[in-house]
Amino acid sequence: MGQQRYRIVVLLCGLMWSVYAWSAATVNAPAWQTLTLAQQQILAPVSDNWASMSNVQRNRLLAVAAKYPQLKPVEQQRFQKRLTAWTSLTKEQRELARQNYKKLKQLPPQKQQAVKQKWMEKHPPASTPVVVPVPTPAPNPA
Amino acid sequence: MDNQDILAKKIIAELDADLSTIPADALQQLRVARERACLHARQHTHTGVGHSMVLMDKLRQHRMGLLGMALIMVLFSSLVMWQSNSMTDEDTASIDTGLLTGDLPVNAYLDGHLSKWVNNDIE
Repeated sequence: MGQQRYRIVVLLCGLMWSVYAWSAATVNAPAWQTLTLAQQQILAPVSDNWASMSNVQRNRLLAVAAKYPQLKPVEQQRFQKRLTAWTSLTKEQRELARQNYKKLKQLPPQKQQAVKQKWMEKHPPASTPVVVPVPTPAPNPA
Repeated sequence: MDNQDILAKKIIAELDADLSTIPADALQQLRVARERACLHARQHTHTGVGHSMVLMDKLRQHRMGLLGMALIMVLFSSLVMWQSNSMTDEDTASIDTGLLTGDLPVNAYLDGHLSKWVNNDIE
């Protein structure tokens, strides 16, 4: 009797674990229409590509979009300007950029600045059209 | 008939003859000794069976304990995995935010120059 009860407990735990693993692997990112107005405004530059993005990519963009209201205006402007190019990169390119970013961040601030300066000297900014930043939307109560 | 056969027949004859000549008290002692030996052998066998049953019981208890421990380990590792996954996601979101909002454009981080300078500084 005890043995049977024990087996049932083990079976239930196994089942719970399987359900968890399955749900973790298949967390569906929301469709564009189900995003809040605030999210849609922030991620507007990639609205056309949203449906073709992977769940992981969509969830990451939503995580970044959640930080948007805390960004400075100049950072919000950069975000809007770079978002489309960022999403058009391949997965490998994005991963490479992350790795290099992490490496740069490991340097002391002065060296980081020196590397940035060196890069900017080598690549002077081209004249780019000014992108009007999306106004920070009020947080959605939902 | 060779010598060995003759010797064997002699031994058998001697043994048969001696059996009838053993005194009654000696026979009684032999009988008691034999019975004791049999009893001892029987007890020993029973003790062996008892030991096996105790051992089996202990093994069963151990097996349940081991299964329980394995279950706890699975649950604990899943918790750790879940936590590390969520931490990784958070880290990636922070990095992506840094890339999308930082001083340098994204293509700087795909550029071989920056990577080379950073690696040189690290070394």
